[in-house]
Amino acid sequence: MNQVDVVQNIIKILKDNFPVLLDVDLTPQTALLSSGLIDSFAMVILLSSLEQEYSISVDTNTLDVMLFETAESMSRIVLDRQFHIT
Amino acid sequence: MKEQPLYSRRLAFTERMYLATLRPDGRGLTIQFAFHGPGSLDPKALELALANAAVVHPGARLRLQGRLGWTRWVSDGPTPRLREIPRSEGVTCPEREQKRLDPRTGPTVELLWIRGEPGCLIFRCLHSVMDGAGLLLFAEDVFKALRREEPKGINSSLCDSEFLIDTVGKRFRKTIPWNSPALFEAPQDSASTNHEVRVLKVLPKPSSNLVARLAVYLAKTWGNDQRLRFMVPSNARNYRREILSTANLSYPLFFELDAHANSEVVQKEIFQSLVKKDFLRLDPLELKGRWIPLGVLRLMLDAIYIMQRISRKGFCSIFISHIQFPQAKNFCSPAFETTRIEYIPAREFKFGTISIVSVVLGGVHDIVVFAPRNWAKLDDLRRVAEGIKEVLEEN
Repeated sequence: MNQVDVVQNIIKILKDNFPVLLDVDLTPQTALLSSGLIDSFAMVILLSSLEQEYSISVDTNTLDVMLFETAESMSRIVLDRQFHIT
Repeated sequence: MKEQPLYSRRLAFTERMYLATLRPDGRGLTIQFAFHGPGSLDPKALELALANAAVVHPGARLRLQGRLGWTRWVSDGPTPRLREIPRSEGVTCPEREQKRLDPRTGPTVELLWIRGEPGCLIFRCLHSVMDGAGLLLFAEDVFKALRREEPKGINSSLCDSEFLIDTVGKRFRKTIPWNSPALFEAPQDSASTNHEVRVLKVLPKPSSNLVARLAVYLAKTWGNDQRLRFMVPSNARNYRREILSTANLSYPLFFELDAHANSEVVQKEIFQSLVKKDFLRLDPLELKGRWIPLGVLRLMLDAIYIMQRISRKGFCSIFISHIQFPQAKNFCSPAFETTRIEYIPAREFKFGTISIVSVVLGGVHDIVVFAPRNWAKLDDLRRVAEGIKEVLEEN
């Protein structure tokens, strides 16, 4: 898994789950939380989608809300094992 | 369109609680969304679309069967009815049109239609059969049928407690105490029906972190150095996206704030509760409460209500529901285009405190602040509404 693929896949997950984003030109750096495009409640959907897609189990104690700010920062949840329950 | 077999499910505790508070004149907890927009609908087409959607939505045809603690919802009730109502000055759906939906005979869901330009469709249901997300799911399918597309229907009959047991197991949380203070002094009015103030705002971009920012504003401005408990419903379907259901699957997330609260910190707390699923844990009473006969439950609730009135304390000080992601295109047909969705508070839910419900469609924020007349004065609600405008403008 390389970061570019993961980020592109996260952008696809975002578009699939949040129709509000279909008309937004999403880049890896698009601000999602601070811009109001998604909120804390939406992150639950994202987290379960990431866990399912990448067969990972995320240690929620390690998560910070700001990891969901951009597709690029979200990719860390997938790629960095410190966020996983092993 | 494939007709669903007879569907039956037991009631969750909250559904029983809502049923126990229903009054013969129609007061009680109903969910009501009005869809406003240009276009003129043909009543025949509307009736057909409603019937077609109801075929795959047994949750829209529920009727109560059984007695005492053994009551169940069974989908052998009538199809939701379509009722034309006249346009009223200053109010979308006057109280006289918020008629009783009888849980024993059905229908427990109905569609009101206001002819004219712009037009309006009002979906109503008993909260005992559906939650807000469930009613929006049903409304989406009625619009699909209007567009002559196949309605999605549902694939699950889970009620909230069954869903929770299935999702997080029998992990219990503490019972929420009835000790959160009222924001305002007791009004003279003794009526328990709701009154409301509405805020309409068109914003060029979505509001970020709105629930946390509103909660912090309210705690700072009206908290009087007390800790206020907030209740925010969250859609539990988000945890199991494969489930399509109109049943009550919103679950309350509680958090407490004082005047020193910070919205960034509150957002983090909400996030942690959501990802850890803490709020999804059952209150032990919710399992036991499913077996309390409705008559007994009514007496218990009456006693709690008297205590609430005397102490001026409730299970929360403020209820905030923020519905941010409905898509306009899902509520459109060639003959009608929804441009605004309005949440219409029930005529009465006497346990209610200060409630804020916000529905965002495109950039249009439709926010209503309401409370029972004996809990807060209209002037108090106006002041809260003014504050909400300021919070929105900060965006």
